[in-house]
Amino acid sequence: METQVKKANKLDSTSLIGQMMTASFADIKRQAAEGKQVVWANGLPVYVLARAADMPVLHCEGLVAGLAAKRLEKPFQDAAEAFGFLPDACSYARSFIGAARITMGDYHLDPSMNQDLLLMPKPALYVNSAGGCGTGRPWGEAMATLFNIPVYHFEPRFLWNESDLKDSVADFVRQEQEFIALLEKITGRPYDWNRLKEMLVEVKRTVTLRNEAMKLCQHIPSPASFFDWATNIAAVAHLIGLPGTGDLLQKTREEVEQRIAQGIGAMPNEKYRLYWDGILTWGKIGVLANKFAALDACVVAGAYTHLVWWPRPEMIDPEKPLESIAYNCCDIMLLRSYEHRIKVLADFCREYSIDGLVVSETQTCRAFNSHAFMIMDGLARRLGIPAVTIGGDSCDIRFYSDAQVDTRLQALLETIEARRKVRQV
Amino acid sequence: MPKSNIKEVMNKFREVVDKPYEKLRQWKKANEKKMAGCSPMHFPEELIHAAGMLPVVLQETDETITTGFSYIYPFFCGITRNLIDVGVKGQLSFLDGLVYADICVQNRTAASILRQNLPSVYVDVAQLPSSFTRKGVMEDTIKELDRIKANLEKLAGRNIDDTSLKQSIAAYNKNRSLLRRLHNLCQKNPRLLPYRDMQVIVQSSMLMPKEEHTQLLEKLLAEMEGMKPASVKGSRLFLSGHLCQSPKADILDLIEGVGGIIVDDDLYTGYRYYAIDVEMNGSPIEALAKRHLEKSLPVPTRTGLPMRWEKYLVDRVKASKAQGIVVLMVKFCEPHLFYYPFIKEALTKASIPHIMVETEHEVVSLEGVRTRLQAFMEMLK
Repeated sequence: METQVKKANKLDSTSLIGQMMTASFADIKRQAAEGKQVVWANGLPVYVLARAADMPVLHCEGLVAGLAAKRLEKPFQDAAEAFGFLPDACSYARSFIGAARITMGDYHLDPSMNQDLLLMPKPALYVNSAGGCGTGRPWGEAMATLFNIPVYHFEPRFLWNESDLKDSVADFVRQEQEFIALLEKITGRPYDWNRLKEMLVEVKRTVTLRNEAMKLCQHIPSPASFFDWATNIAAVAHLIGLPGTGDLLQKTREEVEQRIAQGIGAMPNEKYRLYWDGILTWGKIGVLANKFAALDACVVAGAYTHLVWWPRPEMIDPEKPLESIAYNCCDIMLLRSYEHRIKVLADFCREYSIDGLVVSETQTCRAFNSHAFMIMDGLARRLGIPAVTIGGDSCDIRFYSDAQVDTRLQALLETIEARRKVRQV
Repeated sequence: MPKSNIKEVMNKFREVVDKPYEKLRQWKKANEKKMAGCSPMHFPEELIHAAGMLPVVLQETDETITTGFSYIYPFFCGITRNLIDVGVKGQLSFLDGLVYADICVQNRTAASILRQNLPSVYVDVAQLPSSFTRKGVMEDTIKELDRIKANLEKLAGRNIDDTSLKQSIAAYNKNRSLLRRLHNLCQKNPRLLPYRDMQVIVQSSMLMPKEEHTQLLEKLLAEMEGMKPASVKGSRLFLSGHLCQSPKADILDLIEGVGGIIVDDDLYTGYRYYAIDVEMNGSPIEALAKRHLEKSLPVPTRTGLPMRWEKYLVDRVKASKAQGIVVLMVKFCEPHLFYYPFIKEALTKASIPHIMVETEHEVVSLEGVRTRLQAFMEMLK
């Protein structure tokens, strides 16, 4: 008898993301060919400021994640390693420094490779806004040195206390003003504030719809999974501020609502609801989604998808664009103290009816791994939720092992099952 | 001072460096004085000193990491793992305060974990600007130093006025100038001290009361400056890297053992620590801010400095007439990881031979390193 393999029931609307990303890269290249000055950026979406100045923006992590999901990132990493990078360095950064070397003609791609896909337009400016991750600093400096271009480093403050947010936002606004002056200098044009305001209307619509749709996943069974939302990050990161993102999220929200009405889950048979801490191994996104489906487990939420990108949509006021962006770049999980994080996560686990925690080690990212064990311990103490770590990395597939992931997930689910039995007794 | 006194002075330095936290705990008990630790690299110890407390720059110890692995992954750098480990084991609880200066995400993680796990210790992080080209960085630096100063005053139970801060700066400048004198002496007369001893001298300066260290250093210099140059054979080397923590003595011995004559360095527990004084004119807080912003040696943890690290290194290597450079890279040190390719490229362009040696908290087999270093020395001949 043929065995039916259970697979993740991906959101249909998510497939549109790939098309939008491809179109966006093609558009950036077209605009560069027409003589527009391109911006390369990492981290948080403060680069929307450059987009409003009519500068096409290439978001490094967005591009590399997209390529890694298709397993096309290796030439970038080879180029970085040929330059002297060691695999311990952040694989997002390492990959994009490789991309820079290729763009500069310092590393030659094998002629059999898709040159069009891997060759980027040269930037006129680099923006580092790696909120809370110090790696952004040397990364930005490396880019500026390679291309001999200016770099702007945004430095949001770490929020040790709740009361620090106001000062941090004011400080960030000051940086945005300085950045806008730099944009005016580079473009030779006065800044287009009206365009920024219009863009923020679309941003607010997009991120609000996304957050609402994600919140609908508190429903059991969850209509979408962490892997859908991970793919969907592109809409609020690389594509943010571009036309069409609001409509895309409208479709996503409708699809999620429709699934709830029809009782359709993201996993064919949801028995366990999990939370994902850390970044995911992009090259294994499909494999992981199906692996969880096969185990009747649904990862319903995660820090990377839910608590980093535009976490304060209610603070977006297009009439106060700088403050709007500042709140959404300063009040992110990575900049928050442990006390704050554990409180938010505990509430999150209750709201989403979480049974267990999957902590992705993300070997080359220290920022997302900073408090992993304390979070595991803290949630176990507060809510009695078991946790497991799994190896991997954002873009360096060499750190991932299927066998290890299988064994650890099995252990997690057995622990959850044992706890359920104890509760029944 | 008879030669045997060099040994005696060195033993005093070594005593505190070998088991720093044990020795400091004893010192605190004996002296009944408050003590505040600070992270390496960017925090001005003078502020703690001016509050009448003993400033201590946190050091990596040789202790095997055990409990710490329940708090941190193995792919964080050695000093981060080690400090979290000794902290959660209670070995830092004797400190009254602990002030970090934002260096990198790993260092900030250590601060956060220690803050949670050292409830009796005041733990703070000085968020000093790291991008030096931004507008208002001087004002921001002064504001942050003032905030930390106020907190240290509360901890110490006394005010830090300009006079006491200037006195502390003067005490630190004096110690730095003596360390530079020793550095210059060892440059002219290499192997006067094994390089591991030079490290011990600098590390002990980070741990002992400054005035006591200065006194011992003066004694040591008086003796050493009268010594005849030693006859040495080998290749002149420049040591670079190892931010935050001292290289293990085994590695330094190995470099000298295969015929390396270390004539200069830019290590944190070396030239970087004592290269630059704080100005004595004007407001002392402003002077500390200036040292941070305008007078830093090129460093990968800060941006917008007038010169990049690789360019600085090429100039320094040429000036020291070193034949080659050993880049000591702490495994998982991201700021260094991002600069190494540029350093490699610049050294190659300048025809300066170099070798990169990766180091770890847990000393791995040195045989492989020995072979690589031997081959490098052969190349230099």
